[in-house]
Amino acid sequence: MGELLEDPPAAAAVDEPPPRPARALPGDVGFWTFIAADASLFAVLFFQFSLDRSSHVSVFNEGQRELLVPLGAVNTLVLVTSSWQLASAVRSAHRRDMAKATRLICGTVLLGLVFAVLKVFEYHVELSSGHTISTSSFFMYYFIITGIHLLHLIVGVIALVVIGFRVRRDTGSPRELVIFECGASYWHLIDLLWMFIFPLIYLAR
Amino acid sequence: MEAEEAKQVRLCALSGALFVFLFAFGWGFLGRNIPPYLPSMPAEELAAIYRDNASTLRIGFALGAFGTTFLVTWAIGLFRVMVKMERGGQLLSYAQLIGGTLTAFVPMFACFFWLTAAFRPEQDPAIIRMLFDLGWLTIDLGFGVTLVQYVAFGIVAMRDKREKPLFPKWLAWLGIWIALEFLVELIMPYFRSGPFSWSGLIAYWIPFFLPFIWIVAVTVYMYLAANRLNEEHESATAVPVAGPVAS
Repeated sequence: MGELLEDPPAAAAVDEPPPRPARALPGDVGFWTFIAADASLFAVLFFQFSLDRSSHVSVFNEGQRELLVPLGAVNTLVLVTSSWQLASAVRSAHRRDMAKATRLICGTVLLGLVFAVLKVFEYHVELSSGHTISTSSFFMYYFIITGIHLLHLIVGVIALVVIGFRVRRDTGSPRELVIFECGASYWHLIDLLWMFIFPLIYLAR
Repeated sequence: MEAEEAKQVRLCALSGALFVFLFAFGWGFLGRNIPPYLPSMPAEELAAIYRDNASTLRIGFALGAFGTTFLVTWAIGLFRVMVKMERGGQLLSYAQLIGGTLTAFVPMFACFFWLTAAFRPEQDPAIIRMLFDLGWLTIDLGFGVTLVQYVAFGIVAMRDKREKPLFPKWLAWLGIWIALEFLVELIMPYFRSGPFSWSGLIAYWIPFFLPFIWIVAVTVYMYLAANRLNEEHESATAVPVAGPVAS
């Protein structure tokens, strides 16, 4: 986001394009409505979870003991690393180093897939131990909240694959950067949501 | 857009407001659906409510079903505005039109099921409850066509290249988000209580009230868009006057 801090040119030459207006948000401003609405939905889910938890603490604690916390911790690390890679990819794209940006996007996609595979494995373990969506209100929230999050992640992976191809083609259009920033913002949202999901569902007692 | 068509589009826009009013008053208020009865309510209790309030329920659901007509006229008006925005064909405009037209059938049929329950409320409570369930499952799970409408509109509205777009980008994205949030309804049939049941926060309050707000907002911008498209048409067809033209 270095370009946001640059001073506007003091006296632009006549044939220079007008200075880019300082933007408050990366990507498309309208897209942030989507991000805000999505974040609000999760906020509501977290609120409902906490509300139900406060009235059935023992049920929730009992359910939580059945979760694979180390796997959740590994996935946290995976997502944080992926976010960091993608942020570096955006910086590279701003520097017009598209080859490096593409490599970093590939890395992010791979880490996203690692997250998804670990999550599916985790579901497999839970389901084969007899825990389903209707076992208890804890497992209802566990499967629904992490399931909706996983769907977000899958959409994010697909979006990044498409963006990766576009970045590699390197058309030089500023619109491409805006699309890339939108995708990256969405990916950071996925990461941020997990930062709430992991402590709330896996750790909080 | 010619003046005559702009006038028709404005009327279509207003019909969206009429839908919101008729449906909220008929289905919501008279139909006693705000808040809805719980899916866990015993059949006898539900049948007693239908018996005691049969008259208001009948007029409510009849009005609600009729009100959905104006979702169709609204989608037609929106289609005409979208045609003037869409680049590279009209596929998405048609997707919106057909999605919007079919959307009207979803609450309409749901109202018919509830109306059938209120028509003979003295019958077996189990049948009343079955019709009641059918209404809710229809209105909650018929979102697919609405998803097509909202997403098609969103894509066209966000790609509007005008310096000041006819519809704000946030409205386009909000519609897309609402449409995707409808997918949560897929898990609704698993629950008879809690936030994911048809009376819950996630499956009722959010997916039922946000679309109403969205429709009202789109209605306002559609009305203004008709005026702007007419102005665009007038200025494009105006005979050039000799001498410099201001702005």
